[in-house]
Amino acid sequence: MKTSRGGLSKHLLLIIVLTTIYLAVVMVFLSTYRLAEPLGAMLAVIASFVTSLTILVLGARAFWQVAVWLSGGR
Amino acid sequence: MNIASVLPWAILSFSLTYLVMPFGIKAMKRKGWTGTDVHKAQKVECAEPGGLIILLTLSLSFILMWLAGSIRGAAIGAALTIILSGLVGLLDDVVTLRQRTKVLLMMFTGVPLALSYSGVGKVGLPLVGDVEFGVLAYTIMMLLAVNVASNLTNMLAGFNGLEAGFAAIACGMLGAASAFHGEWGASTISLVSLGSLLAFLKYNWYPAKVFPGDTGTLMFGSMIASVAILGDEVFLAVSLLMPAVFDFTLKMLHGKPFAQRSIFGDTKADERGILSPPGYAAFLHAFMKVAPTSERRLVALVLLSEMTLGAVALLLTLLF
Repeated sequence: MKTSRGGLSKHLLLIIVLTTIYLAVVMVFLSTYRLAEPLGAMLAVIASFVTSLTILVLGARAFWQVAVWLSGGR
Repeated sequence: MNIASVLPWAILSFSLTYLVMPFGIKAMKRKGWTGTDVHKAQKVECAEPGGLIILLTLSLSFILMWLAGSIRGAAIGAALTIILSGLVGLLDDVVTLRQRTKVLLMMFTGVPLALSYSGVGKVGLPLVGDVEFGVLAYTIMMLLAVNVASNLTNMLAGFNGLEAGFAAIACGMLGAASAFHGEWGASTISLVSLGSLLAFLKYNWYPAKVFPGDTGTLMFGSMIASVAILGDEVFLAVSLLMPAVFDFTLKMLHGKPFAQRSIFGDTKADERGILSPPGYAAFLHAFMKVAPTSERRLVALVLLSEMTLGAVALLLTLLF
């Protein structure tokens, strides 16, 4: 299907965006954990969970905005 | 244990599901247990819930494995958790449970795993190492994990081969990682589940003859969570579930998160099979939005996303 094949680069770009956001979420989680580690394991997990959740929400919004932009604002 | 002792069980579950599924499809159609394939130009009726056949064949495989002494301890707990999740899904397929009832019932499905789990309650993270939670906190986490994973896989669904393909990749990667780390109980459960999933995919791949139903989708999420806990592969499992997490986040960010389908309707397919998404944000809709996408390609792209994130997670674990 020619029309479908034409959009492969846009689809792959979307997967690259997804992977980048995933890496950002993971790195924020791990670095916040290490910073909060002296407080104890549970507090460190809660702190890193809250911060990475924020990045996840912002990332999901960004992912959708990229999709809208790639679609030409449709 | 080693891979040679696991493979025969995986082949058994594959063969059982592969052989029984055609009869199951016929029986379900005869009883009028069908669902409409809404993403086709011509609406087709498919047998549903095909997850019931997986539930039966997987249960038989687990019983035989238990009798042969191939699974013991927490692996039996994980097998029971997977079966109980399938039963809750079956109940939902038969009587359509309210969302809160389903969540509550799913909470109990993790009990066999939690009761039989004898680990130290730790999660291994790259760069950080092992994080210990203590028995009580980890028990609560186990119950939540089964519930969350099952509902996530239940939400990222509705296209031929998507749910079973998603779970098959997760079970394959988790099974391989568990085997690599010598966690043979987890590896056995995941590879036996993978056997059933691959056989089911033969009938569920585009154009599908059978849908998994909630019996299947809830069981698939439970497979991922149970194996992740059993094999201490939580980080990999969370990474593999990320497309579903993204989908859930996008839907929650939108107004009226649980009424979107009733307001905006379903995805439509034109006569060439090109999909057009309804007007709310979701992970699958992003792919449909950026370029003309057929159902087959959409599913392939989601599975590629999952494999990419799984590969990155494995790389992070190995490097750090």
